[in-house]
Amino acid sequence: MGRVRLAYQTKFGLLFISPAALYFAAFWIFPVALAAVTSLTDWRIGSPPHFVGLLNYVNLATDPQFHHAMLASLTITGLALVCIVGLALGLAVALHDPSLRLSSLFKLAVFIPVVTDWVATGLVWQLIFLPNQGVLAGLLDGLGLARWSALRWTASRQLAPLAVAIFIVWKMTGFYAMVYLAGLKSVPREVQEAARVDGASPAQTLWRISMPLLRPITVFVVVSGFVGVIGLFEPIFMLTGGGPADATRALPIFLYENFFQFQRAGYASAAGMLFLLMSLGFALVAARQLQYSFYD
Amino acid sequence: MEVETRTLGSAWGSAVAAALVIAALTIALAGGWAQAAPAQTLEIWVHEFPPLQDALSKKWIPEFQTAHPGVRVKVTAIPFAGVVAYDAKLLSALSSGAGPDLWDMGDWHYKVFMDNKFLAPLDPTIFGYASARDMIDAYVPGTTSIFERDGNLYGLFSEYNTLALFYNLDMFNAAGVAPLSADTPVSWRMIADMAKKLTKHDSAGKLTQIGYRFGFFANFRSPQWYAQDFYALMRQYGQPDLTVDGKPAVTTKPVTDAFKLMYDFTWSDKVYDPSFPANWFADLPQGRVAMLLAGTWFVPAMIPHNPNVHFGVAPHPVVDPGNRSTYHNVEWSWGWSINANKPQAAQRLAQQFLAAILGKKGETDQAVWWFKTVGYTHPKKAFYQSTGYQQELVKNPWLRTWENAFTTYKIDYVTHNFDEVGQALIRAIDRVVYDQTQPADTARLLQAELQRLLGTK
Repeated sequence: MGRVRLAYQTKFGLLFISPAALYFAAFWIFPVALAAVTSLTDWRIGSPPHFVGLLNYVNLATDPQFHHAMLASLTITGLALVCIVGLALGLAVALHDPSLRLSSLFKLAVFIPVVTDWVATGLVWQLIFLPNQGVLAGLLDGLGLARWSALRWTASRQLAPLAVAIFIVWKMTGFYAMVYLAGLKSVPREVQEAARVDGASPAQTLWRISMPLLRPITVFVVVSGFVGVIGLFEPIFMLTGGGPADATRALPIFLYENFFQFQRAGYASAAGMLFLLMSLGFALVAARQLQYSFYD
Repeated sequence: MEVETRTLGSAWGSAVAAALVIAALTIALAGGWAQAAPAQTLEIWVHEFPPLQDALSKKWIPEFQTAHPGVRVKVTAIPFAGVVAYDAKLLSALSSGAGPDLWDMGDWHYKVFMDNKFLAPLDPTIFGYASARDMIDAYVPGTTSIFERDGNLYGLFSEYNTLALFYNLDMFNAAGVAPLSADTPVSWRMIADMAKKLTKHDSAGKLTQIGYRFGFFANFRSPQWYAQDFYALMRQYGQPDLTVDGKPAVTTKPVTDAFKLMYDFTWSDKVYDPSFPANWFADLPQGRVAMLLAGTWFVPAMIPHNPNVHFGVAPHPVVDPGNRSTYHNVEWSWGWSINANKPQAAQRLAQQFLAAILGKKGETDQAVWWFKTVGYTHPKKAFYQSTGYQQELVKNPWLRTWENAFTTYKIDYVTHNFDEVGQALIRAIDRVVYDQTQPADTARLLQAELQRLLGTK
């Protein structure tokens, strides 16, 4: 077999992508590979690691704290994702309305939370959720709903996951609203006009014409939203620190505590690998769905 | 094709030219920066406590920089608990081989940090001592044990403290509650009864002030304070630790009684609400919290913003004032430590800074200043004998109550707070104060968790 000669353009292209490829290899592939190896050891930070095979995975399978963290992650992610998809679509439809005045201003307002900092806005949301004296409590008082103002948003096991989800929804919806808006703009105008000529109402046009055409966008929003939300550490750490009584001790907090606070690097790495597999599994299932949507 | 090649070639030339310009600018800027930069920078991390930051930025750092031209001291304050935990940030930085040159941290970290070789041993000669033994002997016996290993010292006191009960005298007067004795502790039951009179609601039924506050609350989830409050109670009820002979023992009466006291304060007496206000140093002077436990730093921290506050100080409450065996209190330390991963020159500079702010052998001015200004105690024998300290006791009679605690109570460090066992304890306390879980059920759940964690199940 002769030597493969790369075209000049190919070489030039490789040169250009090499920084990104190196970055990806150094900061994504290498850490994942390292975590995979570490997950098979009993490494505690500061002590030499020993190979333990799949013991960490076996222990995780019977660790109620890990199960709880999975459940907390899925609860927060589920709550947030449902709201994000619904709100993002609703906002996109509203912003897509050609009769909307000052639409640029509204787009800016919707997108601003996306570019703010999690930590800074987390401090603000702490004040918003403060019972009795918080911003939300004041608002509820003003609306004559004083009995709701004492709700312990971040200090009750029932409400804390919801509080975290609300913060995430506020912060992330704007991005997906813009994604939906771009999708709506790509829906052929003539198809919509034809539907209207045939007597379809705006709601029917949205539901029966635009939504099926937006299916790939929806799958993208769900997949990237799931992967993005389930890995979030900052909003939980900022609002509740994982409490109260572990109500919001989701997987990122579980990993962080086990690795840094308890120095159980091997165990935390195994949990991280399972976390990665779970996210990959969800993404693969959704990607298949996306493929079907193109061809069905 | 030729055209395309030329275009690419031209683009390549432009890219190379641009890269050269950027490189030249970078080198020029870096050179300028290097010229402007001081010879050495000392990076310090501290937990967020305004009087501490003021002490460093307004007094000690300017003085040190004046005495050491060419040295720049950079201090970063990081919130201690609640959300962005100082401890976690410190541990993660040091675990990766980075972190500051010098930092302060709680006593509970020393074992782990020494095990992991994050800490450099102190050089006694920099502090004017002949040896580490000489240095250890300068402190009240036993107090430096937390910093010691293999005959070396790996930390030096930022503060050493114990708890006393602080209360708002104006709130007491308004509720018709008599001030507490400064000499004799009262029972927890009496505290609860007084606190009921000091807990108020507005006309809409909203809580406006609480009678007593434990040291942990919704936005201050510090394992240190969860554990300090619990350990004092558990020991007063008769059990020194969560384990006996290495095995979990939390379904015992002392542990259940400690949970029950927290349960009663929160749910039966309704004098404590973990989600009620959230400002450690403002709630008491501003009339939202009537009583709380704190160390000597509480006064310097609350006075600047509340100069007219009328407060009293009483001994730590106990289970039974008539039974001296229930007189238990906790102690804790914060220490300054040096990063072992830094070059020798940086380690030396950090120790010189420490010697400047804490004092060398025989010097007490620094310790007196810290005590007067920040409420931090350095348990040097010479400090307790100093005129400055004696003058402070005369000026602030309440300090006698705090000082007497060291002779009145059996005082010990807390065993578990930031570790996995400590985290399980926090979960248990959360179940009591947030979920209203019954003390016996809480104890059973904790027992099961500890058995699993300690491998005894």
